[in-house]
Amino acid sequence: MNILVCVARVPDTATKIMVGSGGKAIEQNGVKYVVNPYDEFALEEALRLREKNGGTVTAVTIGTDANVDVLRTSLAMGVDKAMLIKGDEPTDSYYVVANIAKVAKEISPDLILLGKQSVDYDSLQLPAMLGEMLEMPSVSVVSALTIEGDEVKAERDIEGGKEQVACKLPAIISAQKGLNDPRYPKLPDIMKAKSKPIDTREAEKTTPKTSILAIEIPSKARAGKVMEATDENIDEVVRLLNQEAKVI
Amino acid sequence: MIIKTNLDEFNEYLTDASCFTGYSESLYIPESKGEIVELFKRANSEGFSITISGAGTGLTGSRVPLGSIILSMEKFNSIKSLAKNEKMLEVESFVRLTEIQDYLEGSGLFYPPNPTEKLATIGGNIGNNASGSRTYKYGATRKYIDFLEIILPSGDTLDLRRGEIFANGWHFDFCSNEGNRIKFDLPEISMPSVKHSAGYFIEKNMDLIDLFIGAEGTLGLIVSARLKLLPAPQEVLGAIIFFDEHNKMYDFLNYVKSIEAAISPRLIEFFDDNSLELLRPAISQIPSKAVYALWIEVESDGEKADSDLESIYQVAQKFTNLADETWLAQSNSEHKRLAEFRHALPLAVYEKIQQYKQQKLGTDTAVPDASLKAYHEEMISLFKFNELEYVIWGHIGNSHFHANIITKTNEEFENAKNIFNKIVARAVALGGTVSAEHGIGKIKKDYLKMLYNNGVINSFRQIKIAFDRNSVLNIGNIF
Repeated sequence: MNILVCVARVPDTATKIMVGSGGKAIEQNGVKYVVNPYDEFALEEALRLREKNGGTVTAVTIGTDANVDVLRTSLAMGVDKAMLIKGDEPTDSYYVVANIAKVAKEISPDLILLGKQSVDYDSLQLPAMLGEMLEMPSVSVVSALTIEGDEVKAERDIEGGKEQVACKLPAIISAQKGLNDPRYPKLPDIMKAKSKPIDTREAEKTTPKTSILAIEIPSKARAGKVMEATDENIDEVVRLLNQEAKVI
Repeated sequence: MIIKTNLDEFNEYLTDASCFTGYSESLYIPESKGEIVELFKRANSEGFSITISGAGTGLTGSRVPLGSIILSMEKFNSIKSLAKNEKMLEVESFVRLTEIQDYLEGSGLFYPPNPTEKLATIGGNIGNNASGSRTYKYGATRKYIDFLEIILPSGDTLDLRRGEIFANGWHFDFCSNEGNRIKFDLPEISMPSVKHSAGYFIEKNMDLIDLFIGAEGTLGLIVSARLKLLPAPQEVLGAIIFFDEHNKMYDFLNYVKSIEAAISPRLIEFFDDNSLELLRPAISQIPSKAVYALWIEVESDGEKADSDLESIYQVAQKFTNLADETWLAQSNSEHKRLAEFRHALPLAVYEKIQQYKQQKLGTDTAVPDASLKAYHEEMISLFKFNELEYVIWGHIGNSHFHANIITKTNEEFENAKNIFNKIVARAVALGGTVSAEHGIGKIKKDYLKMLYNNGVINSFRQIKIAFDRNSVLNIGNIF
């Protein structure tokens, strides 16, 4: 089974994020980058499927040369091949999908695995757009997966329950937390991964379908108001709840 | 001041992480320093006592009230200021370690003490001179306390800067902010020369601030503190190295602790075979041949990281056949995963103990480095001979073990307690301590008596009386 895993490079989830000077991107200085946590579930699932069925796992990422580090991590975890689609830092989902679809058409994977979202821009658009572009079934937010022959059975987390979905390979699966426990990377594999080849190709430019106007840090929860416990204040509390908080 | 007298509203304040439970009729939550001063004065004149409550993460019952009122510092939870150039952070006492860590993230500075329990408050940490994993390189909380704002049990206050008030030999004589004179003698003892947190800190010509650090709230209430920070290392490499043999693990340990070692960890933590067995159901990647694991952290920077990785691997290869199984963490999230591996252990033990409805029996002993291996082997044979279920982990860099005995019945518990006492006594006989980091609190007082004779403990009591004539504050801790 040949599996393509899409890997995004995102700020370490334990890093404090600040808005950059232009107001349209985060301040990159001092930020450490890691493999998108949801993509780790996708990588782990791909490796387990290969361990069971044989085949090849290829990790692909799109962005600048800096993205090589997430490919090295993927290689250390155990993927067979790593590919960098070199281009602008991706902020527009269509640009990402168009380039990944091009690679997919070339290597014809049986299965494409990716995280349900990348935790930087959180667009959640890739799995569905990729399905449309490749005319493949796309099952998103998957927390359990079994593949027998070309029969895929996936369990999805939905509001208040689970949904069972079946489709045939080739297919696209986006991974949710709970799909598996990603392995701890091993020291010798990390060292070996440093010298493995990275297949690099130029990204195809696309006309952006979306652009970022501004980003900002979410404001902290509003401070509460403390009022004296008097009868007169009851009316005032009601007025505030009605007119300011607009909850009654 | 918020006062609660309906027990349903403050039930959780009656216990801590040791499961030791007390009783109280009221919880007081002061909102200003003035309210606490007033309350302390009233306690003296009206004759009631007060137990200070932090986050309840302690393991010795020191926040557990035995009939006194509870004073929770939870409103004193703000980070006051960061002086970047002086590398100092001023915090109120209920600020939690995790909040300090988050606040300093990205500042280029860090607060070195690193107890496993990140929800603990800084006040609680100062109260028992908390240490933890990085103590191997950086020392315990004491080293990082520059100033304490204290309310004494009398209601007087004390602003205590390090380097201002010293003992004259074995004698203290100084005044509170209000001008009241306090004087007392120190017992002429030398503390065990290991990591140590049992009874008061005593040294000839000592700084007064050191007496309050580790005093378990018996001498005064800490309102706020100024903490010393250090420049954060650019990069930290974390590794869990698995060992297939007892002796090889000790050879590795002795090597990395020696001056000529190719790597110099800031943290060395130990997990025994039973610890690994307990974690295996959740973490299948633990190699089946592993009998021990060590978690180490090495400070590095961007340029040196590759050669440091190489060194860790080469050293591991020299001492274990499982070097290829070594797990590595470089990013913050990966470090968090290794820390979770460590933190999962006490929780797994706690769950088992709760399941059997038993009390926790966990040692906190440290011994001199030279005696560590023999002490460890003695422990194992005692547990095995008595057919006890046990799990040993700990801060092996500081020759400090947490050996936990899991008992299923009351009868087993009584038997285990005898063995436990033997182990603690053996640590003392070797020149070690009964408690390296958890303190004495209310449930480990018998062990303090193993360490010090009545004369010493009486001198401790005289110190307590010099500050707290009417037995008002944190009664039942240490004595």
